[in-house]
Formats: sequence, structure tokens, C-alpha cells
Amino acid sequence: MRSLVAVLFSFISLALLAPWSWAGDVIVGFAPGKAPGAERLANVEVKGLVAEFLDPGDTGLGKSLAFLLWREILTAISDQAGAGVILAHSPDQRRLTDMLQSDYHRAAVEIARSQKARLVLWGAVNQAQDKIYVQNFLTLLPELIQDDLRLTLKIMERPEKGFSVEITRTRYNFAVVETSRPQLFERAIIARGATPVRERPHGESREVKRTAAGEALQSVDMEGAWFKVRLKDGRIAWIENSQVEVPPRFVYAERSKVSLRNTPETPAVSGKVNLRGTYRVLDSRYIAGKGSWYRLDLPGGPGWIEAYLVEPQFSLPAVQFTAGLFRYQCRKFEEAQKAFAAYLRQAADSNERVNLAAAYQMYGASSIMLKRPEPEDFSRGLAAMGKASVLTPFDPAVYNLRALTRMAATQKTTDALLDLEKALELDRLNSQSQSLLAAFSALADPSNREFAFTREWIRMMPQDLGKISALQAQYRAPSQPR
Amino acid sequence: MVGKVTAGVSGAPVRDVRVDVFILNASKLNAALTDVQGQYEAKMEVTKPLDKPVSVELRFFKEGFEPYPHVSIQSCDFRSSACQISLIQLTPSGGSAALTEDERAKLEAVKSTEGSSLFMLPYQVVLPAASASPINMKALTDSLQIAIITQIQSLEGDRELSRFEPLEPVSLMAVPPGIDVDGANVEKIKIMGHHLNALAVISGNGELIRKSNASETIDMRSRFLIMPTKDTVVRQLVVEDREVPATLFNSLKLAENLSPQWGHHTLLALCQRELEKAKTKQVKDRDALWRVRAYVNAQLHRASGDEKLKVGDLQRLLQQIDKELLP
Repeated sequence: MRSLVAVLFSFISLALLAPWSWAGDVIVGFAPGKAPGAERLANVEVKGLVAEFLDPGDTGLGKSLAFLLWREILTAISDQAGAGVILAHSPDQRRLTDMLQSDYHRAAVEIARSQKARLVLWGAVNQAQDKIYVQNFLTLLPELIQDDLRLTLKIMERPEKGFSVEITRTRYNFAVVETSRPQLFERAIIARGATPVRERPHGESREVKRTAAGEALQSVDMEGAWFKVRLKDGRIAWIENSQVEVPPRFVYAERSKVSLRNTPETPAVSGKVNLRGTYRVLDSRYIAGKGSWYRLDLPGGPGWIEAYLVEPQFSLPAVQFTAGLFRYQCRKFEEAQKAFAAYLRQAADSNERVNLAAAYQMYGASSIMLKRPEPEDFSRGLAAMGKASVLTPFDPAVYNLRALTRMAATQKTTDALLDLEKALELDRLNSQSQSLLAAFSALADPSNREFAFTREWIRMMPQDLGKISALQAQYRAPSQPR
Repeated sequence: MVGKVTAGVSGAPVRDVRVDVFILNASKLNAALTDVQGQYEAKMEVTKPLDKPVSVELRFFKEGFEPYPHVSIQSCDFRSSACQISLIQLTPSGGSAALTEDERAKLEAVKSTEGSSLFMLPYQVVLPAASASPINMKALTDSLQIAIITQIQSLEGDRELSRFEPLEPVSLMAVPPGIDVDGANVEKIKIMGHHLNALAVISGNGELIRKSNASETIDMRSRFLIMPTKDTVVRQLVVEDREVPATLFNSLKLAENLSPQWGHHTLLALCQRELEKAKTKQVKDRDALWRVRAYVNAQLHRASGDEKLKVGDLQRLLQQIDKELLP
């Protein structure tokens, strides 16, 4: 059974989040054989999807977690034009587990495919006493990503034909995250407009109050799509998740003399502060022309700072990884570099070697793909590829990527050829290594006019010509099925 | 490196034991066979005197004997590092390998038509007399199947594999009751596996260990016998699941705590079977060979620097596939 997914119910909303990214949600079922529903966010180029998490213990967390991660990813990519995230969930009163006939992974991928989403975050959640365990996975759809996840050698910002390799992993099994309801849901949330806050978590319930636009509320828990909030007078009430912005619970920073303000709208600096560590977010705001701001709980009292100065800490490291992939595909390499660095910081102690290797590859590639990389960017790129090669030493992809990184860093072919040789030694038929070998061969052929510009910038030593001939002779490959 | 291999009970030398020597941090594999005195000599080429200790691992195996997983040695001078190994003979002397008519009929009834099933003999788990509940074989079988399928599916994240249809998921079935076979009777298990059209037959034993703080764990040691094909690279393997919390047995959560060797061994069995099928078709099935190759590579790409044994198995299988693919 390959096609598992059908959209059973109508779409319910489409919302624009400040300032750039797009959100959509779709109610889905998993009955096979039904036609897929209409595409959401059809005009958004780089689209991802969060699928409701499986919740075998019927804790209600499957829905809440998916809503929360959906909002967090939107926050994480809110500065990316042309990016959007769709949430796929079962109808309000139904459990995904009940509707799912088999093979959740393929179902999640099928939903993503039907929505033309390039990646899908999915998983399962279990609760044991007060501990919550989240299994989380990320799957990419290579047919939709096509050439947007590659490392390409550029000279004077011009991509060099042939000197380009795919970043090869398409599925990530993240380490199980142990968390708790307070760690997930006790956080500041921000009303997006004049929104009803209700007595119970459903739309027909009595309205307790109406929020002001931009009002910060204190969430204490979540049920389905509803945040449970504690109002300033101590009463408990409920607000639907699409009516609020969800900033990160905490941010991390290592910075000196950061300017503080009493409000983000005022230009006057109220003081300077050294940030060293993790700080709770009390409020957030987007100001047109001034970007996003956070109000932080600082040792000397709360203050507002510009969001780009700190690193958000999301509920799962996978959110940072997903944000990095979005940014890389949107060609925002500096921001992608930051997201992968944040992921590596959060996940460094986990035992997920293959994912860490992939994150180092992505971090290294982001460093090299910057518009005007500096020498330290090349050093960072090389160091990251080196770490990836220690983690997965038998993966030729690492050496293909490092070959291009070395070529960009040194503007020579000598060291790059050593990496290519290593990649071919590991797998003589690897399609990416073979295509690099073909590019080196063309570069070495002075009669090939296509590479005349490249030859002006990349030095090829006499011994490199011999090496290329030897590699060609040793590793000539038969054609592969496409 | 030199050493001697003897049989466990008799102490007699064992000839033709394959000794694989893996030199860690150098991606190198040497192999040797024992002679009539059970002695082996594996040469390692060293161009200059070693200034710091080098780690090597040895693995021993011979048909009909329990495979010896590995021995690690760290030294600067291996000329004096003799390694004596005692192998346990699997087929008990006098144990019959023949199947009765009744056994044959029972096996025929559950035989795998596709050849993608693993079959499992009852596990023998040693439990203290006062121990709580016995091991539930159904839960163990289900957990193993989940672990194997999950581990193999995780390979599909390799982009090269996305060009191919996934391999059919394997199933894991219990050998029907009433078959008189000891897990150590390799010859009989092979005959059974042949009748079942099995990918591999699993047997094993476990021991419950009670710690002082009242927590209980189970150490499981399983034999994974791959049904031989013409060019089988690896046949008898061992999976060790150590210190698995006893509370997880009889629960599907066990799957998350089982060794990644389960997926690895099943992949080896599957790929060897697929290779054999692709080779023996009237016109060699090159697409099938490329697919098997992509699976083997995907597993290889995930290996860490200290998984030399796993890498050795996969590289040998790759060489066989490439022999078919390359002109």
C-alpha cells in the first residue's frame, strides 16, 4: 500500500505571520484510496509540514505537540521570505492513532507530497508519570528539493558547473527527547490581535476577556490546539493557538555590552548588559522596519533586546535543524549557519552520530556558500567537514563535500583531489564522486573552453594532472539507472 | 600475529578456521587460515617501528563452531602477541540433523513463499526460581521484528537509495512447536531453514541478572544463521544484547533497546539473497544489483570508525556486487 493519505475534511485557515513566513493547516485523515485535497500555500516556494504526532497512550499530547512545533518552526523561520509551514492534523475529536491504518512514516511523507512540502517533521509521544518522551523524525522529499541542497563552488559569485555535490541525507532520526509539560508549555505567548480568551478549550465556550493586540499572556499548559493561560488576576482561561505568536521559552547568548531598551519602539537605550547563558523570554514583538525583539528576564530586571543578538532555544533540537534546512534552501546561508550551530550546541551530547555528521556537513556548506566568505569562514567550513569525516568516516559524501571546501579555501586542486580519491576508494561508483571526477577531468583538459574562467582562478599543479589521469584510469564507472 | 585455535571440549587443534584481523584506525583487514595444528599467522605490514600502541581486533569463524565475536589487542610489538582461542563446537556429537516426516509437514505449513522471513527458535532464558513472569516469546518476536524493520528503514534516508523502491520488509516468525532441535545443532537448523525458505534462523539464550539494588537485567546472546547462498560472505553471526532491563521484556518498548546488530545482520542476509537472485536471472538484473548496492552502501555510510567488523562484512559484500556490475 503506497498511497495512504486522503484529505477528508475541509481546510480551516490560512494565516500570515509577521514578517515573512507563511502558515497553513489542513485536517487530514489516513483512509487509503481517497483523493488528496487541494494544495495549501500553493505560492510558497519552500514549504514544510508538521504532522500530528502519534499518541498511543492517548495523552492528548500528540496534537498539542504538533501545534506547538508548528508555531515554533514558524517563529524560527519568521525572517525567511518565501518559506511556510503547514500543520497536518486529524479532526478535533479524533485521534490520529485511531485513524491510522498502517505505516505512519509513509503516511506523513504522502501528506507532504500531496501538499508539495519539501520536508516533514513527524514522530510519536509517550508519557510516563510526569516525564514526556518525544521521538522525532525529519524526512526530506528529494524530488521537491532538487538542487536546493547542494554545495556548489562559486568564483566571483558565479557557480562553477560540475563542481557541485548533493548533501545526501534525506531522513533524520533524532534522539528521543525527555521533557515535561512545564518544559513544553509554560511560556510566554503573544496575542496577535483582539482575541477572545475562553473559559473552556473550545470555540463555543464563554468568553472570559478579549486580548489587546501584542498582549503577552502566560501559558501554563496546552490541550489540543488550545493554550491554557493564567491571567493577571490569577484566573485560568484558554486561547486558541492560531491566535497567538509563540516565541521560544528561552534564548541563549554570549555577548557583551548589549543595548537594553524599556520598550522596543523607543530608540533610547536604557542600559548595557553582558549576556552569558540562557534567559527566559517574557514577551516578543515585531516592529516594522526594526525587526523582532525579545523582552528577557535578566538578573537586573526585565529589558528589551533585538532578537538577532540571541539564539532561540526551542522545545526540540530538531526545530533548529529544520530551520537550518529552510534557510539553506532560501539561500540565507548566514542564518542557516547560525541554525546548524545552534543545533550542534543543543544536540552535541546526544548519541546521534549520523545526524551530527549531517549537521556538520550543513554547517560547513553554509560557511562556504556565503556571498563573500572570509578566510575564517573557510576555516570553519574545513573544520566542520573534518568533524563530519570523524563521525562517519566511511561515507564518501563527506569527502566529496570536503574536496569542494578545500578547493574553495585554497584555490588549488591538490588537496581536493586527495579527498576525491578517498571518496572513490570508499565507493568507486558513487554518482557524486564520479561527477566531480568528470569536472576535474574537464578542468584538466585545456581544449575544454567551458572551464576557461575556472582555470584563471584555480591553480592546477603538474602532479594534479597525473593524479586526475590515474583516478580516471582506476575508477571509470558503468552508467547507473536514473 | 600468531596464535592457536583449539576445540572447546576436546582441546584438539581446529584447522581451516578463518581469522580476520582488523587494524583499527587504518581501515585494513588481513585474513589467515589455521593449519593442521590449529595455528595461524597473520602478517601485518609495518614500514617503521611503531612509536605508539596500535589496536587490532581478531575474529574467528568456522562452519559448525560458534563464531568467536572478537578479541582486542593493543600493542607496539605484535610478534610476541600470541592469541590462543578455544572455539565451541556447535553440532553435538551424535545429534541427528535429519528431520522426521512430521517435522517436515509442520515446516511446510509455515514456509515462506517470498524468502524474506526470518524464523526464530524458542529462546532459552535462565531465570532464577523466584523470578516473576517468564519471557513472552510473542512479545520478543514482535519486538525483534520492529527493531529490524526500523533499523533497515532508517537506511532509506540515504539519498542514493531514494532512486529505488524499498526492499520488502522482512517478517519474523516463530518455528512451529514440536520440532526437536537444539540451538547448537547447526546442521539441523540449516536443513530446517532450507525447508522454510528462510532468510535466516535465529536461536539464542539469555540470563537474568539481579543486581544488588534490586534492578534486573537480561543478557541475551543470539545466533543468527544466514541460510547459505552460493557466494555467502557471512553465515553465522552473533548478536549480543547486554543489560537490557528485565521490565522491558514482554513489552514492545524492548525494540528500542535492542542491538543495531539485528538490523545489520538482517540486511546482510537480505542483500546476499537479493544478490543471488539478481545474478541467477536469465538476464542479469542490473537494476536489482544497483539497489542492493545502494542498501549496502547506506549501511556503510553510517558506520563509525570503530565498527571495523561491520565495515569488513559490508565491504566484502560490495566487492561481490561490483564484480557483477563492472565490466
